[in-house]
Amino acid sequence: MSNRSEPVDVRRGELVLISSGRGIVSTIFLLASGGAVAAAPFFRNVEATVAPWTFTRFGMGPARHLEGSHFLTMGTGVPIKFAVTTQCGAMLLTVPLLFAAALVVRSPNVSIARATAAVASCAVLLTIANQVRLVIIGACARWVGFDQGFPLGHLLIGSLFSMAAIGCSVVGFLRVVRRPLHDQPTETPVS
Amino acid sequence: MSLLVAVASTFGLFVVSLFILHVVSSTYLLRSEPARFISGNPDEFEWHIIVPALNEAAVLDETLRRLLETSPARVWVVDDASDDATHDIAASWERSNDRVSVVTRQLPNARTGKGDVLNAAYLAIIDRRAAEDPEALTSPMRTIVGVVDADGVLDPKTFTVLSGPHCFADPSVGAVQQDVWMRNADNTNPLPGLGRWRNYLGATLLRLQDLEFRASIAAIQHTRHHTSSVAMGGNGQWTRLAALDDIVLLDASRWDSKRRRPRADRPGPWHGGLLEDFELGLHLLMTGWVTRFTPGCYVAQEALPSLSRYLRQRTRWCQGSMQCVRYLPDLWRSAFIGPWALLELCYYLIQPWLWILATFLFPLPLIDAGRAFVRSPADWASWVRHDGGWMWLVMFWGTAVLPLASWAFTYRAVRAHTEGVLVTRRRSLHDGLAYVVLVNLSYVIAWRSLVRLVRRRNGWAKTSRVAEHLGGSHVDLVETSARIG
Repeated sequence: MSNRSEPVDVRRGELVLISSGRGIVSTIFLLASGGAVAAAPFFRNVEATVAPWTFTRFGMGPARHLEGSHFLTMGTGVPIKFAVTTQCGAMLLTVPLLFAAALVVRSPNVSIARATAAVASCAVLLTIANQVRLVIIGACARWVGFDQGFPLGHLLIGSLFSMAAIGCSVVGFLRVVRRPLHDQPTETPVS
Repeated sequence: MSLLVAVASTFGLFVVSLFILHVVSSTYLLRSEPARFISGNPDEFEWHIIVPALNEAAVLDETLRRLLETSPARVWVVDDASDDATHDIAASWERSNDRVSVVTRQLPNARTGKGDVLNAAYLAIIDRRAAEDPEALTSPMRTIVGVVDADGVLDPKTFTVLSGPHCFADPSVGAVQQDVWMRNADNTNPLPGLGRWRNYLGATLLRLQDLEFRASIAAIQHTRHHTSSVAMGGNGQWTRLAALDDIVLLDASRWDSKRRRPRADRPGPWHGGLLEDFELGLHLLMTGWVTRFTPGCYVAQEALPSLSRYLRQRTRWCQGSMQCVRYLPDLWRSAFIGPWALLELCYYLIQPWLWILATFLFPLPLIDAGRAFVRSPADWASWVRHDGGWMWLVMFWGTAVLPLASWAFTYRAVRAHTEGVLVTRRRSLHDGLAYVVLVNLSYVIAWRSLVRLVRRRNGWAKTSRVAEHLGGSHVDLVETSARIG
């Protein structure tokens, strides 16, 4: 480790060349992050489509999606109408994770499959969390009254919930990508 | 525009969430983990301390006296062509004490940056060891080289802590950064004769720098222990000689194979950037050495009581971080950098660039709200009062302010734990809010750094000492032509 020999003899810190494959995958992740930004206005329609089902599961039904739009309604009589705006959608939240994946896949220590799985699972987690957040907003609007309940659920509780979800997804992402790429080789004593 | 606002809002939400996660986790680690100061035996190691000295006459004599009293180390004073009595003071100590050696650098080859100063001392250490009896020579694995600034005061526990199992007793550890305290943090009158208001600002700035190092930076370093990416600082930095040798040996351009020593023109492990300390840490990590942080011992240094000098110092650091972006491809390729370390280092290196980006993105939601106000102030007021706008404002400012302000309470706990000093809650609240303002200066600092980078103004003079600043013998702040390697 500390022998003073020629550099060529002490390539303990051998730098492993990036395979061109890793560069391509990294670029794909970067392109995907751009794609996620572009797709965000459309993905909110998908979230609005799924939301009534989630509302019903949490006992907040009946709820209905207005077809072809990002609007949904909740309740009977004079229903409450919600709009899932682009910044309220989950798609944009995946962009930083795609960036992070683009960074880590360049390292020879990280499995590309694991990084992809980490992003995918975090995206699913964020989408589910966003559905729960919509339910929280609906619940606050129903129980506290729309004027007070909607901002309470949307701005305060919903935002705090989103922050917690983002925190969990980041921790999850890190834990998945950190797992060692290969099993550590065991040293065999030389006889 | 709406998509841009959406991206900005999401970016803000994500960054705030990450920041809160970081503050909560690192504060937890800082306050819950036992301080790592299990003692070892300093006699098992050979110690060298490098003291870079450019016009340090105001503080050098006292520093050398303290270092020799409290340490078993050989002290290498590197006089970087000082104009004042620095060389005479160092030479006088060299004559009277055989543990002091002076390395003299002369213009035009002097004043080229701290990295070159440290490299000169490294070469001197190598040469001295080469002249010694090989049988009696301590192994490079057991030879430790420290960097202490000329205003630095070492904790007497330093050498026992550094010899412990968390530090150099572990052979995989290449370098250890010790905690940094501000020795004038409690000075309430740092600018005598300059009025109450300026002294209030100066004293607050001193405390905030102590807060920053002992709470915020210490917590970050604690977290880095878990990501295996502890960074080295400019003061209180300790490195195994074997690790320094490895950096030189692995860079063929720095090795003179005929003479079997580092090349005279590119002689050492420090790479000459503005953040030569951080660069050293990167090179150690990329050569497979482990870096550690210990809060078990500290080096105390002077904090700056003047905002302009503080901004100048931080701009230099920020510019140094921006320069270090060039290491990203090396980090990506390195087989020794794990994914957590990679992400943490990437985040650190792109942070100044994020500040630049955030200058545009963060204000967008505010501008949007401002436009709504201009369009119809009555509607806006109604939105704030009745439609939950106040909650939006509470969320916006609460998430932006509270995590930063909370460092003051962590600092309060740290001081109570380490020194038994009780900082009042009122003072902590005051300092927490002041710290928010100070951190927001990062945007100004990032832009100043960017402008300097674009204009290729890479030279910086060292920060003058408080004693010099007040005594009228202000160090000339004319830029030197620091070589950026």
